Amino acid sequence: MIYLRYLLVGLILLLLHISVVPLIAIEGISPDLMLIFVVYVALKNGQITGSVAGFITGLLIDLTVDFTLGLSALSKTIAGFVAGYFYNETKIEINTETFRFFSIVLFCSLVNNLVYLSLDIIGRELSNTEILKFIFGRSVYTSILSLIPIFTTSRRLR
Amino acid sequence: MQRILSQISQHLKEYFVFSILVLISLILLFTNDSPKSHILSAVAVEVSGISKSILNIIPNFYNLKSENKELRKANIFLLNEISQLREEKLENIRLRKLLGFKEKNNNYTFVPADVVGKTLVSPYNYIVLNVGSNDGIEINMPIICESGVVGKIMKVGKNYSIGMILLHKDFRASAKIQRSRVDGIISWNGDEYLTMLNVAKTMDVEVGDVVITSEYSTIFPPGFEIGVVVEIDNSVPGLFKKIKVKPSVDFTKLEEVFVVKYKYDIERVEIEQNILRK
Repeated sequence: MIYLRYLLVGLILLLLHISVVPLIAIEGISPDLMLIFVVYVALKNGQITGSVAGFITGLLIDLTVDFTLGLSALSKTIAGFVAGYFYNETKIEINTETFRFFSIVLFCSLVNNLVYLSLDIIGRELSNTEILKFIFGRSVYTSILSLIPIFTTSRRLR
Repeated sequence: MQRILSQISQHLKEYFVFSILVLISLILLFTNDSPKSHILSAVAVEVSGISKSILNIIPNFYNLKSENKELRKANIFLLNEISQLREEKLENIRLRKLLGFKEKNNNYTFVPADVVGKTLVSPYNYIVLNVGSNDGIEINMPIICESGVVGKIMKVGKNYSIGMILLHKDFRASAKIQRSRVDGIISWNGDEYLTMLNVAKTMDVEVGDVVITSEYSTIFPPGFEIGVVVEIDNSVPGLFKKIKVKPSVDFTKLEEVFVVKYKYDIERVEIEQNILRK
């Protein structure tokens, strides 16, 4: 049941990712809504669920946004797996409902963007400034956006 | 390191799922036809090349063994080739000498022949040549080489002939000292050197004089070198000196010779024989 809920939320977020996120892009840098979702799932359910969620989410992004099948799937799988390291049954709430979530998202976003841009880095498709701008800019923007679920779901802050 | 290993063993399921998902992602990426996939393929080729070059540094002992075997084979083959080339080079030198000799004596007809057999240990030594009556060889034709007189044809077959060499107890040839024109007869009595017979004690002969074939010979054309005087003994009883002559030809190394198609004057021989009979 919980996984079905995740699937529905994931699909809604994907729709938002496709339609709304490009509208809020700053200097061509848009936040990664799907990553916030993957980190959340990993922190709630552990490494395996995080990895699978990352893979499915990434695959959907590859099919709908990037059109490079496998690239987002790879980066999001790794990000979900890394986020799963922070999973702790006794600290689920602390991890997802406090500012800790912000820092985990920031770290996982850096990992995700680094993997996602690795081919561009190796292939020298982008300049160093563009790469740094994308990696750090997107990570910061995504982590800022991750504050929204913290504020909306956190009972501690209320 | 132990901590990492224990961490992996504890979360084997997680790592397994993660590896499968990463693998699927990579496969999808590789099978893709997007420009980024091409970069990935190029990177993969580069990584594979680098790893192979690193692995090549580590010696493969199995390959080394077989490579060593192959090199040994090649070594034997090359050594054999070198030996053959050396042999051919030496043959070339000898043949050039023979050619020079032939050109110097172009008033005679020479038939080149290879020595295919010889004996040097008996009192009646001979050589076997690979020319015979098919090549126009006849009995008593002189055999020579670039160093001097070798002997004469003793027996003739169709394709082979046997030559009596200087070191044969029945061999006789008219000879003369080149410097003083003193005549004698060359023979061999079984020892190291040839003997020059019938040279009077009063005749002018010195050690180092060259002995050549004489015009008196009915077999050998005149002027071919037989040997060099190495010893003169005047103390022997009788009228004649005892002269030892070292043959110019080294029979142990003899390989190529010429048979001279030299026809002596039959009329002259007949007259000489008639006088002897009277």
